[in-house]
Amino acid sequence: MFEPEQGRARNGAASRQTKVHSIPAMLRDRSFAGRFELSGVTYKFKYVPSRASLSDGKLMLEGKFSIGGEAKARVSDVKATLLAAQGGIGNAPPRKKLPPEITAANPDLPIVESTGSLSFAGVLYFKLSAMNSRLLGIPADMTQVQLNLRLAPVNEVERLLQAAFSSVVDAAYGKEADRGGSETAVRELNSLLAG
Amino acid sequence: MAQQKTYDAIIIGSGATGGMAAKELTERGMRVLVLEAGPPVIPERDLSSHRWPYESMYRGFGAPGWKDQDQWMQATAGEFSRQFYVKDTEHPYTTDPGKPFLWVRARIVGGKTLHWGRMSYRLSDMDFKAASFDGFGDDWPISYGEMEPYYTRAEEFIGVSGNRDGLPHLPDGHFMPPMKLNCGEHLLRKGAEKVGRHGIPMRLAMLTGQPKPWMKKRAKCHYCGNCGDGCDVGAMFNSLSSTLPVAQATGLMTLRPNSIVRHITVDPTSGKAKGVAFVDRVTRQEFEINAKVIVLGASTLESTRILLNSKSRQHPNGLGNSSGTLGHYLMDHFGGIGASGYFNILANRDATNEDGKTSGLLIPKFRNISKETKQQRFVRGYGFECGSGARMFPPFAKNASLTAGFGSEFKKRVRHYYTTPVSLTTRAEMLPRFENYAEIDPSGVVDAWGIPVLKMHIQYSDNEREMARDAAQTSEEILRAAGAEVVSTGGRMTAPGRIIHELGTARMGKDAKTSVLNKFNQSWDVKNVFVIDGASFVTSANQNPTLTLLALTMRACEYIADEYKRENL
Repeated sequence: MFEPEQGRARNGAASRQTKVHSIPAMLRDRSFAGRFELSGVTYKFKYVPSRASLSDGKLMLEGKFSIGGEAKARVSDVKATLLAAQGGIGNAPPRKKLPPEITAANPDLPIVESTGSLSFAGVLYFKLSAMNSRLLGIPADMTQVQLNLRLAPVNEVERLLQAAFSSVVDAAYGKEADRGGSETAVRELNSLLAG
Repeated sequence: MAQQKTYDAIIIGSGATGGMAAKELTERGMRVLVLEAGPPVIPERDLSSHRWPYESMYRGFGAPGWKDQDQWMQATAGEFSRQFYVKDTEHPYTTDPGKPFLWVRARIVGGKTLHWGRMSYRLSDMDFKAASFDGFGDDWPISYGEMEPYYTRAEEFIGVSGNRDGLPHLPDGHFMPPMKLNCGEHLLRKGAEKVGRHGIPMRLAMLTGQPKPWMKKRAKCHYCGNCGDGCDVGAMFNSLSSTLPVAQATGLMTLRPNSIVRHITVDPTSGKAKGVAFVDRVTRQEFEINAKVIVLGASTLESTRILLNSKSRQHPNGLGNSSGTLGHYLMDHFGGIGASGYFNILANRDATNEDGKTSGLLIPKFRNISKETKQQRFVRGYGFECGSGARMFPPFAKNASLTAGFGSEFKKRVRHYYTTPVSLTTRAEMLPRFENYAEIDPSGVVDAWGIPVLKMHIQYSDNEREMARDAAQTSEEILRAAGAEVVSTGGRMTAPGRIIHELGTARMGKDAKTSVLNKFNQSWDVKNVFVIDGASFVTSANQNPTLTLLALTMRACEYIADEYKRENL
């Protein structure tokens, strides 16, 4: 078998603080809930977005990030910028405005599952603003964390939010951004986040 | 500091091609390091081919929500096989709105060979020289004549069951006995023949005869039927039972699981590959290790991702990408179109469980194989994977649109149809087009280890959709000719990726300006880098690709060993 000394550890790698690159979360009602593991310890976290806006054409959420439940350490006003999305496969949530059919030129031909008007966002990848890991009680660098939000709704609020997030992605993250559509979708998102 | 060990070759990946490369190179005396991104397999824990649904409180379906939470894109993963697949929570990739891609990935020693479909077909010159036949795209830089000896060697080593059918566009091989067709499949075959189509037993990499002397510790298939949960007797070909043990026995292979390659390192003077940088999946410790030759067999898109992430001063657009074609010409096959129904003539027979028969009927490509079959509306072709028989959990019983009724009426219908179901589903060629590609996600999304991920751009053209329309009609035609009661036809084309035959993105070719690899799977730009997996495909054909991958790997490794001895690498 391979012995560690056969490979050269990259310079300085051992002395650097462990970096948290990405953390997975599920949409649970209006919050993003998940857990991650560091050195054998599991940390539960929750991000509760309260406001959505567009910043340089990208969706930006503002909210509170907490570790281990409400009573534990908390960092307020964490911004989450949507970097990109992964299209979902399966049943699309009900949409107020259907995305365009990508093969509209020849509508008599068979369609492709989960594309065009049947499409929706399945995962959203957010970059979180730098967090102070000491305040959170986490022994790792939390300055460049990516939050991977899986949208797999199990109730009406989550279905509506998935549809709203999908509309934002359609309008703002396509090849040609639709500014008016993005603003409408963000307004819809804000009304859902407000409850 | 002690002198660091330099391997003759580093092989990235331990699946079909990585395992075969390990065998081929060590047998030729090369010292290799195999880096596998996933964990090792502990057979008694990880292989579940003999587990019954009742052994789990979830009856083989897993805890509610597990797939949606952890492995939403791992479409073929089940409760007993989920350990073979990646967690999507740790392995992101991105897509444009409206154009999803379904990426099924295995990160474990043995890779996707632990659960693959086992179908093993040769390509013919109709595929290798497809562009010469119909004018679309490019020919492969190799011919069937050059590949034939390697197909034979691959078939003999892995063991392929099949029948010699004499079809020029689906060349015969060196087969073990074919698996038998059941009554429904015989009926369907007759129906296909009535409308001028062939029907043949599927050709599968499963031992239906006595294992050959080199198939040590592999056993003849005993038809338990749970191939996708990991075959613990080695009856189906996989790296774990076939290639890796041979490499291990030479004493020249070092296998390191849990090793996620970040990029290939480059000698700043020569521009040649020097080694690889990788991170330990569990400890997150970073390593660099050197070798004279780098062989990528990490799977089509993972190999491409590694090359694209290997940017340097000498290779600013990624390693081996001077042509600008790295990542391009992404293909999959498509399915989802077909027909299903019942053979009422087979109704009300005694119920038998035919789950153990993991074979079926193949209706090979029949469009565009001759002047007479040339189509005006599309180039290339498709075939049908067909099956019939009684299953423990008949799919029709779970579909209210196929089986109406409640209570005793429902049960009566299920019993009536239990021995009758029949279905055909398409396996079709997708054209290689530059505009279908993978790139490093430009927005900066990374995986759990901080490695930049891929963004996929892929959609079908009208050529595929015309083919799908034709397949919907011909599948129904065959089913009716066979005398079946047709209950569903048409369907939706599968999203790209779903067939798990992603191909292209580092294609071979005759010209360094339009391809990434030469005809020996060698990078045009960096002569000690080889890509042996599906990335090298020029066209997808419509045949399942693994046998061709194995044959290409054998051929490439022969070349690597010869060139290495001559100190040309």
